[in-house]
Amino acid sequence: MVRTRGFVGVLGFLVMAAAACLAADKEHGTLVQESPIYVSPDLRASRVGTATRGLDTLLMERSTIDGKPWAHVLVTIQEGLIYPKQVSGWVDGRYVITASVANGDQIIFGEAQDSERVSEDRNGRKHAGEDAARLYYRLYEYFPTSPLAAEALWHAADLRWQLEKSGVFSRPSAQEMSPDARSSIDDTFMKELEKKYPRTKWSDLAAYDLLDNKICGRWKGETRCPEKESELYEHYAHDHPQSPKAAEALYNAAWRQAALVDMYKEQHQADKAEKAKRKAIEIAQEISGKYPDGDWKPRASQLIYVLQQGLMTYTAEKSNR
Amino acid sequence: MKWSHVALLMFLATVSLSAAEAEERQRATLIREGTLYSKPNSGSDQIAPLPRGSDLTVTERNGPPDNLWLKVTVAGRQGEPAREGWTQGRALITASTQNAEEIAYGEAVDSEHEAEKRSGRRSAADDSARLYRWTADTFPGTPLAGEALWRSADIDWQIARARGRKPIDESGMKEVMTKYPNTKWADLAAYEMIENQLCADPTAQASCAEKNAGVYEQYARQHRQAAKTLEALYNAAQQSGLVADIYRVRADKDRSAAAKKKALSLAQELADGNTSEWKTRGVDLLYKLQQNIPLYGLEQEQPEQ
Repeated sequence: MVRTRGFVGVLGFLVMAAAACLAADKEHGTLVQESPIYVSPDLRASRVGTATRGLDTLLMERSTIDGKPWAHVLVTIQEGLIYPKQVSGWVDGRYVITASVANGDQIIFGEAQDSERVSEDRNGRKHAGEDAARLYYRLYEYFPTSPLAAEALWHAADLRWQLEKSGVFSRPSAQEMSPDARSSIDDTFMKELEKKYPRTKWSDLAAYDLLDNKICGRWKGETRCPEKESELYEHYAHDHPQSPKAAEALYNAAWRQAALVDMYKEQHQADKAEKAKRKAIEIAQEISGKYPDGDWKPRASQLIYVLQQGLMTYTAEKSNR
Repeated sequence: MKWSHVALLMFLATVSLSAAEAEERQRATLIREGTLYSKPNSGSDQIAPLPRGSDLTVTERNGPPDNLWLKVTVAGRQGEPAREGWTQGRALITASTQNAEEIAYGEAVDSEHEAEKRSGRRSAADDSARLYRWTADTFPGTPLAGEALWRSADIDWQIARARGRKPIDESGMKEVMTKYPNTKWADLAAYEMIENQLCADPTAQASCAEKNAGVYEQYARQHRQAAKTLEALYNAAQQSGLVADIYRVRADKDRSAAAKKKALSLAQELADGNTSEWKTRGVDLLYKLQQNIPLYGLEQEQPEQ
C-alpha cells in the first residue's frame, strides 16, 4: 500500500511536471468570473479547487464540448491556510481572458472597476477588493503597452496598500508615536510603479501613499510629530505640484502647524506658537492661491479664520488616526 | 437753520440708524459648538447647546472684540418656537464676515470628513448638512451655493437611507432642482431620486428589473450631460442583461433575446464612448453579454441530470 501511494505520488508529480513543461510556451490569462476547476471538461467531474477573479493562469488549451467552451489551465491556488499548490484542470472557457482576446485589457480593467465598486458596498461580495487588486495587476502584467497599464498598476498597488494599512494601523503598535514601532506597509508595488512610470500622475499618487510609512502613530502631545509631518507634507506638495494630492498635502501641512499653535500655547511657548500660526496661515494662503478649485480653498479659508479667531484646532482625539 | 436742512439731517440720521440696525441684525452661524446663555457671561444659565451650523440672527452686541458676546435668535425647527439668548462671538460668523461663505463651506467639508471617520464626532454629518444649508441660504448668489444646497440635501438623503426610511423624503432634492434648474446639481438630485422608484430585489422578478432598466435609461436620455449619465446607462444595460438572464432561466427564449438585444445596444453605446471608467465597464459588460456569461447570482450552471 505504501508502495502504491509512493507510485501515485510520483505519477502525480510527473503529470504536474509534464503540464508545467507543456505550459512553458502557453499564454497567461486571468478569470473575470469565479469558476470551479474540474479535473475534466465536464460539469459533473470532480472539482479540484476554485479559480478566483484575477488569478494568474497558464492557458494550455481551449476546446468546445457539446457547445460549451472550456479552458485547460494550470494555476497556483491557495485555499485556507494550506500551502499554495499547483493545480491543473478545466474551467469555463468564457471566463479566461488572455492577451489574444480582443479588448482584453479593457475587459479586465472593467471587471476590476466592477469588483472595486462591489467592495465599497457594505453588502458586497467578500474579498471583492482583493479580486480588484489582482485583476488590475494582471492587466499591467499581460498588457504592458496598454494605455491602461500605468493606471492599473496604480490601482493594484493602492488597493493592496489600503488593505495592509488598515491592518497595520489597527494593531497596538500603531498607538506608539514612532513609525518604527509598527511594521511598515509593503512598498514593493509602489516602488515598482515609481520606477516604471516616473513623473506621472500615478507616481505622484504613489509617493503620497508612501508617506504613510513615515507619519507618527499617535502624537501623544509631542510637538515633534506634527513638526515632522508638516515638513513631510509640505515637501511633498512642493516636489509634486501637479499631483492630485498636492492641495491635500498642503492642507495637511497647514493643519499640523495650526495644531502646533495649540500645543505650544499649552506649553506656554508664545513665540513658537506665533511662528507656527504665521506658518499655518502662509501655507493656507498658498492653497487659496494655487488651488482655487474644489474643496481645499474653502477649507484653507476656514483654517485661516480659526487661527485668526484663536479657536482650537487640535484635540487629542482628532489627532488619532 | 432752515427746515429743509433739519429734515435732511433727520433723514440721514434715520438712514444711518437703520443701516446700523441692519448690520446688527444679521444672519449668523457657528463653526464650533456653542452654548446659548441667558446673559452675556458664561456663568449665567445655559438655555441650550448650539451645534455647528445653527441658523442664528444677531440682534445685539456686547463687549470688546476680544470678549464679544452676541444676543442671538435661534430659528425654531419644525414648529418649535424661536429661542433667544447670548453666545460668545469667537466661533460665530455673520453674513458680513470676510469670506464667510468659504469659511462655512470649509467647515462643512471638514465636518463631512469627520463623519466619514470611524471614530469621528457623532453629530458631524448633521453639522455638515446644516453648514452647507446655511451657506446656500445665506449666499444664494455665490458660486458655492448650488453645490452647498446639493450636498446638504445629499447628506440628509444618506442619513434617511441609513435609518431605513422608505420612501426617502424628496423635498431637499426637489428644492435643488427648483432653485438651480438645468445645472449639474439638479441633474445629481434627479439621479438620487431614482432610488425611490427602484424595485428592491430585481433578481427576483423580470418585471422589476425591466422597470429599473427603464428608469435608468430614461434618466440617461433626459440628462445627457450629467455627471451620472453614463452610470445610469450602465445600470440600464446591466438591468436589461439581468432581464435576459431571468427569461433564459425560465426558458422564455423570445423575451430573453429581446432583453439581451437591448442590453447589448446599451453596453455598445458605453463601449463606443470616450470616458474611461464607463467605457471599460461597458466593454466588460459587452463581453459578458456576448459570451452569455450570466450576471448576478444566476451564473452557476448545473449539469443536466
